[in-house]
Parts: sequence; C-alpha cells; structure tokens
Amino acid sequence: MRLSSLRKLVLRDLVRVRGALVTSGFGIMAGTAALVFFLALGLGVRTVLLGEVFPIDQVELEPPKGSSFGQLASFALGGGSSAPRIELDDIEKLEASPYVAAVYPKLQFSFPASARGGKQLLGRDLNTGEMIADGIDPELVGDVGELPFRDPLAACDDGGCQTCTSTKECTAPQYCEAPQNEKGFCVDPVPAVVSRYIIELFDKSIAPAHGYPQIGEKLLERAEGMIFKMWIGESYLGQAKTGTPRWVHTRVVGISDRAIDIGITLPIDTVRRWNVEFSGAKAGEAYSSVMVQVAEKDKVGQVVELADELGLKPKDTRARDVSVLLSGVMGLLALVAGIILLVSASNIAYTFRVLVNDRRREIALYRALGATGGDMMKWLLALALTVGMAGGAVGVLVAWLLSLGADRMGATKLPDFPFKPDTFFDFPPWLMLGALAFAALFSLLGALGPARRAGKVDPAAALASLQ
Amino acid sequence: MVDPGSGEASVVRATEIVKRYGDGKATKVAVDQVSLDVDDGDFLAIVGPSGCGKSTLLGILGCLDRSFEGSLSLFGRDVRAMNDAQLAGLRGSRIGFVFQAFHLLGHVDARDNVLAPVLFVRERPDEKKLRARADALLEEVGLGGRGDDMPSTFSGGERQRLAVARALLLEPELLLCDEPTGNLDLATGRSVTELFLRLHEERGLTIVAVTHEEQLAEAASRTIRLSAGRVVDGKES
Repeated sequence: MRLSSLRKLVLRDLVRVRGALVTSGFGIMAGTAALVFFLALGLGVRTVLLGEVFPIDQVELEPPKGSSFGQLASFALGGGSSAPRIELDDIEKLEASPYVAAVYPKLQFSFPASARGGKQLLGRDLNTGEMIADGIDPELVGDVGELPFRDPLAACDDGGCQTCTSTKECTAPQYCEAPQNEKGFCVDPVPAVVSRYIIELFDKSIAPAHGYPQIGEKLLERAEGMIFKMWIGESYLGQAKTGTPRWVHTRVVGISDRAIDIGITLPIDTVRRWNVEFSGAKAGEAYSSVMVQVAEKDKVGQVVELADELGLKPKDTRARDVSVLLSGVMGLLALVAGIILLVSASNIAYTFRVLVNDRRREIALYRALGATGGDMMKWLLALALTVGMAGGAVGVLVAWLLSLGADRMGATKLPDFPFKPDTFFDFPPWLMLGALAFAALFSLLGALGPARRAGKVDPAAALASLQ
Repeated sequence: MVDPGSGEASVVRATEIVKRYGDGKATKVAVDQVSLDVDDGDFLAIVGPSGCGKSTLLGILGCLDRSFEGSLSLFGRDVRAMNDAQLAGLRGSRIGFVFQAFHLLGHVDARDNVLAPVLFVRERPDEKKLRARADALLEEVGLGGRGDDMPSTFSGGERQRLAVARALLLEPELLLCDEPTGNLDLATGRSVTELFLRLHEERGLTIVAVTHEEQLAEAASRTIRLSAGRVVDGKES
C-alpha cells in the first residue's frame, strides 16, 4: 500500500472512531507522563546530587587506613601522623593515565592544632580542641572570593616582607609568621576555604547545642575575610616533637566544594611547610590523599581500578552509594510507569480487537479491491502508531507541565537547604525521544494481535456471511 | 483480455473445482467438480437455488478464496502459482466485484466510494484524472452530480449502481457479480440488469453473474445451472 493511501485510511479512522482511540490513547498518555516525570525527577536529582553535592567528575583517593590506635598514639606523642601516605611515584602514575585529566595532591596536618575565632559572625569566639585541616593545590580551588588562595610566606621570597619577632610589630591584619630557628615575617593571614557541609553540621548540631545563631550559606559568605587564630604544634592531644608551637592567623576567603568536609582547607605549600617543621622532612614529601579529576565522567570506574593497583581507594563512596540508590529508585518508578504502559497496551489490544471485528466487512471489501493481508496489518499498525505517538507527545507535555508545578511548589513550600536547586527535573532530548519511542512500542504491541487477525480475515467468508 | 503468449483464449478456466468445509464426518462439499470456461466478452450467469454453491464458486473465481481443489487460471495465469500480493494485484487491476449487499463505505461520499480501489494501486495514480473518471462513471450509471452525497442518502438501486461504478473505475476486464439484484425490487433489479447489459454490449465487458433471478439469467449469453455444488446444466441463452 502506498504511504498516501495509508495516511488517508488512518486519518479517516481518527475521525470515525476518535472516541475509542482517545480512550486508548489516554492510557498511553498517562503511562508516558509517569515515565517521563519520574525519570526527569530522578535525572534532575541525580544532576544535583552527583553534580554539586557529590561530584562524579572527580574522585578523592587515599591509602588504606593504618591502625587507628597506632595513629592516635603517634599523634599524641608528638610523632605526627603515622598514617600511610601517597608517594610522588603514585601521583605520577595517575597523571600518566589517559582517564585522568589532573591530579591534585592533598596534605593533612601531621601535627596537633586547635583554633579560636568567629566572634564577628557568631557574637562570641568559638573554640575547637582539635583543628582538622588539609592543604590543597590553589588550582583546585580556583577563583574563590576576592582574596588570593596561596601561601602568604611566598610573597616574602623576594624580600618584600617586613621582618618581625612578634605580631605586635606587624600592621593588622598581618601577623608574625616565625617558624622555629627562622626569622619571622609579617605576612597576611593564611587563606582558608570551607565546605558547605560544615554549615549543615554547625546549623543542625553545634549552634542549637551551644546557643549560637545558625549561619546558613548566605551568612557564611559574610564570613569571607573573617580572621581566626590557630594554635599550631600543640593541642589537647599533645605537642609536636619538633617546631615552635605558636599562633597563626587564618582568614576565610570563600566556600569551595573542594574543601575538606569538616575543617578548613589551606594552600598546600603552607601545610607542607608546617608539616616539615613539626613532623620532619618526610611529612612534606608524601600526601594524605589525591583529588583526581577524571577525563570523562563515565571513566571513574577505570580510575578507581588504577588506584586499586596502586593500593589506593576512594575516600568517599557516598557518590557511588547515592548513584546506586538513585538508580534503584528510578528503576522502581520506571517500573511503575512501565506497568501503566502495559495496561494501556492491553487496552489498545481490546479496542483494536473490537475494531477489527466491526470492520470485517470493510477489510474483506478492501481485499476484494486489491489489498493484501499485509496491507490490512499495516493499516491497523499505522493507526496504533499514530495513537501511540499522539498519546506519547501529550504525555511528555503533561510531564513537563507537572514538573513546572512541582518546581513551583518546591520553591515556595520547601525551606532553603544546601544545594537546593532551582529545578528538581532534567529533560534531556533523549528522554523525550525515548518516551515517544516507548509510547509507540507499547501501542504497536497492543495492536499487533488484532492487526494480524485483520490480515487473516477470510474475504470470501466475510463477504458471504454479510450478504 | 487474456495475456498474450499464454496460448489461452479463456479469461477464466476452471477445472474440476472442489470446495470442502469442515473435516471428517462433518465435511460439507460446497462445490463439487465444477469445470467452466469464460471467454473474453462472455456474459455468463451461474444460476441455482439458494445454498447450491454459486457464491462460493464466485469467491473462488475471484481469488477471494484460495482453499480449494482443482485448477484455476485467470487471464492465462495459474492462480495457484501466485502469491497473496500477486492475487491482490490481479483483483485490484483486472477484476471488478459487485455484491448483493453493495458493501459501500458508509463514512465517505459517493465519489470516494468509487475511488476506493485507488487506495490499493501500487503505482502512483493520476489523482486528478481518476477523480474525473469517477465523476464520469457516476454519470454513466445514472448518478451524475451526486459525487458529494453520502451513500446513506441513496436508494437500494442507486447504491448498487454506485457499487457498479466502483467496480469499473480501474477498467477491469472481468466483472464478477454476486446476486447483484438480490436486494432490489423487481423494477430496480431490471434497471440494474439493463445496466449490465449495456456495459457488456458497449464495452465488451466479460461478466460472470451469480443469480437466482430469471431476468438476469435471461440477459446473459450463457447460463450454467448448479445444484448441490455440481453443474447440472450449461447452455447458451
């Protein structure tokens, strides 16, 4: 049958039996809308969780942890952290991998430290018994805030810094950085970045317990420039074997998702310098973890495999866990939508079975006029396809409209929370095309049986029985 | 017209056609060893009482029923050697059908009913030319100017004329009619019979008509009488 004839037959049927076809198409519409809505929601949440909260284009690798007791004891006795380290060799091997775009080593404090500050923001100073901090490559932080993220002592290499023996000799906000056995320099406070996680922890746990006001991310941006002091080389856990315990000044320069979750992140050169001072030369030659930027998002697995060969493992498996959980939930919701589509397919099967029964005479006439059995099948299937595509298109539109409503409700009814997105949905083109394809497929599946029956109508018997 | 080179003069050559229904003890023989030839330009009437197998035989002759025994050739071609697509093409281009119940399409107008065979023509047709032909055929069968009317507005006789116009659209060589006046009153049936006669005489159309009505049988040039599926008499009119 020519395409023009097929089109003519289908268009005539769309008018003739529009009631029954609309009813059949409604099921397809509902199933498609559910499928698209749930998958778009899952993809949108996935984009936020795995794009911002747990970025999947990077993975932090660390060596397997040693004995916790041994590490604590070593730390307390001032021997620095005895945790396993990542050598330069391992970093070079990672950098050489085609799946790796960049490697940024991280260095944790290998000495005890505590901190005090925050009065500007909290009304009174916050004291920490132990300060957790690490150092990262400034390139990993990128442009954060307006203040530079680099070791302040580097500015003194060309002799541009005032010498000092105490902070009183320096002009605020500079302080006197005076390592053991070295002359001191008046330098800017060490820049630090913090993570969004720390806000969540502070607001949900610390602030209520201690009567501090909640910060929230917007208020934390006001903390940029806030200076607090760190006592390095000594804390409640003990004192470092070497080096001069002293106050250093640190200034929050911004928020970064590359910052350590709980603690502060400083320029790696500063941390290396302090590690060497308080824990010896070796503490500056190896790293506590490395942040690996993956060349392509779907190559994280290969990078993890390479890391495994080097004896390293991902530090945070939350991204993988979240990804698995999300996939499971999305799969379940897609199954529900699939069931709706299946039910609508059986509805289409019933409608078309009735249609074929009612049209036996017409089918037989067409056979007498020159139609083949295959032509009759094509006619029915084309009709089903048209109903399916129309239902699918409406379903995609309905899903999109529902998502607008859901986003609006989310914006107005849900309280602010970290990473709260503007939209919870993601509608990539493949999702909509795929949904249309599924709608068409289920319609065709439903109509297949009746279409085959139409092709097998005995024209002689049908025409004779109706004489 | 018989295919040149086929060596056949017959438009239809049926040899010992047998049609059975059911199996085992419940087998019913609807057509029993029927042989007939229809030459180019013939007007053959197949007559017999109701249930004698006339319509069944016509269905076989028109390639609507392929489950039969015996041999059948149409236009010099063995029907059994043809597949579904070839038979459909044969029906669409060379055979026209007229049925007792008219079998018109109630959802389209008269012109589109006449044009229905075009839906299944394999080559791209000249739509304009065919529309003009449809209007001309409506004129010829006495329905001129009613191309936009729906079949439901036609009388029984008019509906049958419309069916005849449809059967003639693609200029078939063989017209198969199954009780074409069966649902019509005497006067209307007569006018339809006259229409067939006119078509036969003016166009030289080969017609095979199944009927139990004497006036149509008398109009034919040859008659074959069936009884219980067997030919009992065949004569020239």
